[in-house]
Amino acid sequence: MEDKGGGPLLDSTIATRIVLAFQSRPTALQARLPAPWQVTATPAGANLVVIFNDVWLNQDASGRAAPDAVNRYVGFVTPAKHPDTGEEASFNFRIFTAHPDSLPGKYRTARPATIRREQEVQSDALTATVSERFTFQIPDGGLVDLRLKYVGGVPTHAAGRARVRSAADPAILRVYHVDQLVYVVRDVPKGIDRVQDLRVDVTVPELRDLFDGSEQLISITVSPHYFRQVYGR
Amino acid sequence: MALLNVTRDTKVHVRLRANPAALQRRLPQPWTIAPAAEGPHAGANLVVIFSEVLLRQDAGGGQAPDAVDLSVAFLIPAAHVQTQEPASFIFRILTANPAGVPGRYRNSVRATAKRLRRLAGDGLSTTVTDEMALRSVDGGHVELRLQYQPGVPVRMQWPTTLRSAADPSLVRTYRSDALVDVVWSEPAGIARARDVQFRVTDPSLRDLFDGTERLISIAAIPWFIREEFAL
Repeated sequence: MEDKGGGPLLDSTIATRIVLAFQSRPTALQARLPAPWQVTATPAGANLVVIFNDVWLNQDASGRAAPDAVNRYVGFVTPAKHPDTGEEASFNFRIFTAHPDSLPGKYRTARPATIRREQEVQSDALTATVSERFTFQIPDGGLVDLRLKYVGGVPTHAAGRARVRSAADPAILRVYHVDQLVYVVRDVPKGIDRVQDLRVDVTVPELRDLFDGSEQLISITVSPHYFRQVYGR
Repeated sequence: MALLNVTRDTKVHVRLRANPAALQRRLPQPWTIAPAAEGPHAGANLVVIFSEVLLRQDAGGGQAPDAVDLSVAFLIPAAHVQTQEPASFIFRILTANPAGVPGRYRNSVRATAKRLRRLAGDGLSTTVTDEMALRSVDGGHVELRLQYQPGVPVRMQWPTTLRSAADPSLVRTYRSDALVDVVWSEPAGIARARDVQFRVTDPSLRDLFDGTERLISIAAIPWFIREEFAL
């Protein structure tokens, strides 16, 4: 099996995603990181990324459908840096998922949720208007709810890689090789705004310190066409 | 082979069994119609492909002139009488993008196009409603409406040779990578689609859609990447 630096191929995913980047309280994020990792931020100031995933197919390394072949989940991630080695990685510290076979998951951070999903894509010739909704009801209380309506355009093609570690066990490292189409539907620093309607509610008790009203939305990107191969050990 | 473009889109394939003589008339010599022999599309001799192109890039990675599009294409699976070489012949395309006319196969016509796709999910179960309608400037009207429960799609990678029925010297080779979900198939007994309405009222296709055509299968393809090469 091909080794692309992080180890052999572990799995691959084909999905659609909505990625919300926030600036939240650094101390609350730092409290979720294992020592000696330090929370960082993107040049635009985002230090908390919330990723809504609608998975069409998860495959294992041999190409077979994974036990959680079709799934819906939301992941919470913070960028961090190792002060000694300089390594940069994103730390996954929580996932809420609809699939029982995704528990506790590859990062050992997943918890179950009841999920409702709605999407409407209205295309008229060469323009599309898209309405999205993800609602994750958490059994212990609270919800994560996204309502988004935006006007599409011509997406950009992006390919890249990312290192993702688990906040529950930093020895878990998965290296993502991603090929995707991206709509930037809001980018506050760049003045891009294709959003017609937006509401984000996060009322999960364990996330209250991150979503206390002081958090600021930096950007929203949508990937209608997302392919990822993950390498690791 | 030279890479011409890369297309990322979503598709719905509708396969039918239509009047063989009417299809054969559209093929140049020495090609003959070659219906699928087995599998979920067995017996289909006409393929209708609805495409919503999210991004088409040229060989250098830049946006192609028809970077986004809504279209429907009509193809005949065929084989060379002597060599048995397989190829699909495109004989008509309705496209929303003016840059796609007359198109690489010289048989595209401009059309108005609309699509409304609704997805409702509860946990891991999903219902999709898809409606597409294209009306060409020369009087054609193609409409598809269906509702289905997606299954676990199959990832497929395959090569295809496409030829133009308008000019058989126009040959393209496709390398496709896709998720394929056959939501309805008469041969395979798959019936996850309901409320299927497929209508073609097109003066140039009247001999194919005369009421005797029969639906064989419908495949939803939510994720599709295609590299197109010239020989």
